[in-house]
Amino acid sequence: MTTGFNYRPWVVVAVLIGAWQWALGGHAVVSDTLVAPGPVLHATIRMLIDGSALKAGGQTLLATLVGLALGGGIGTIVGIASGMARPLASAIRGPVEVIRPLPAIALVPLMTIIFGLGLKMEVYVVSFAVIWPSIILSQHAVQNVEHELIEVADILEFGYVARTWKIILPAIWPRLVVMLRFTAAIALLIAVTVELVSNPWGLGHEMMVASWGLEPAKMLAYLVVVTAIGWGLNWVLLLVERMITAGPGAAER
Amino acid sequence: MGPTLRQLLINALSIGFLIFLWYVCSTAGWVPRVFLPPPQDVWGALVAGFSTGTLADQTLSTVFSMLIGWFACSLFGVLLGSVIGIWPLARLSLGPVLEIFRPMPPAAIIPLAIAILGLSAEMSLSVIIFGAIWPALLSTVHGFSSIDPRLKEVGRALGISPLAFIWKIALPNATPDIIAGMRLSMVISLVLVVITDMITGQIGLGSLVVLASRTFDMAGLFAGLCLLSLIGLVSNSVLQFAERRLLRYKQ
Repeated sequence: MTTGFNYRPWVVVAVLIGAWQWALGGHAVVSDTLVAPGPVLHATIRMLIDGSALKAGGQTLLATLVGLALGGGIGTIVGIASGMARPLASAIRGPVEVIRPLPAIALVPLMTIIFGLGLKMEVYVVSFAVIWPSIILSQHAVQNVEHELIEVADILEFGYVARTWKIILPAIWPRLVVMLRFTAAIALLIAVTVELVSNPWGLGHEMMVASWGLEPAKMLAYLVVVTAIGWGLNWVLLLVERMITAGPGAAER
Repeated sequence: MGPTLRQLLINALSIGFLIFLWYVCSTAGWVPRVFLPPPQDVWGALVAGFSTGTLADQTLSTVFSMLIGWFACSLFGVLLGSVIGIWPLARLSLGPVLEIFRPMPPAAIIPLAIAILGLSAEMSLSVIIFGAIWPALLSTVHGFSSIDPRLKEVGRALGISPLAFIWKIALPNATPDIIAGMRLSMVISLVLVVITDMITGQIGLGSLVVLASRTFDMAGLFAGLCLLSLIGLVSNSVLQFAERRLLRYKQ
């Protein structure tokens, strides 16, 4: 029973979709703003074929990944540096704790004034959202590196560069990938939200346009695409995580 | 107390330095004033806003929506999470379904919510609950399903009812996970309050920030940003404090 195929979630999904179909397929609810699953599937396939979903998805994904690279990169560098030097860690702690709680989305109006609408603005907002968790998580990762390894570096009289490159980075590598998975979800969320709120491109914007235009099938189809991208991003990074923790070379670590 | 006091001093110094840097950058003209107003202007906007009461209204409205959303999603999250965590059939059938919804960006359901509920306060609340429930829900499920088997055996040996088992063994055991999840839910509900304010234009700091930017009132915009980060800081610190107090018995 436990090793067999777990069919139950499929039953739940089938019941949910069945209820949705029953409610909106012309039986219970008549609505201008919602549609049955059939048209949504149809719209999704049509959007995938004519490329509009891919175009909007590509725009969103581009902003997500560039923002993630920028914010995650800076955050990780700051985090590793501060993880290695205690005084630096306690010096940046106050400012980080004060600025971090600011919801990145609230920066959209400010960033729009500075950079105008477009990729640049979205990338900066995404990187602002990603940079703080990156700093904190990578700092923790470095601070939790085993003492023996640090002592090895001390005995070998490694400089900062050699120490970072040969001891710290290999030791925290798996944690960094976990961090990447966590921050990638944030980055996608922020990118879509920036598009929902103002930036006139990408999946978020298309959803909003479909919503205002009373095209529920299209709107829900975009929601499916957004979820699929989030799911795909998570899945790819999970795969990378598994490759690193179980792949060749894991035993040496 | 020595190290904490020292860290507090360092924090005060570093934050002071940050504000000083802000002051120098804006008054010396290194960063255009259009983008970065000097701190004294922002302070002026804060004082003026609070003395006329408009800023207080907006701040209170944001805090209020955040707390309502957080309370509702903590309640539903913990209740639903307990059921799923304690009941194997529910866990097997609902767990994977929840995993399908989890990677969905919470804000992405806003257009759907607007289509159903319109630009209303109910729409905002339902978006906040839907988006912020996940951490509370999933951490409760995790807390319940990771109960030590020996504790379950104790429960069986004592022959206590399932309800008593939940109340006396499972819930205390899951508390650390639940509180951690609730803290994350608070962060997300603040974010979602800001987003829904921005989109619907309801009274709150989100719409304040948008309006200030449309009128190029940069001092007002920064005042809103400062208040938002203060709200986040205070709410998170309060929960962190509560977490430490509640979990003192674990140490």
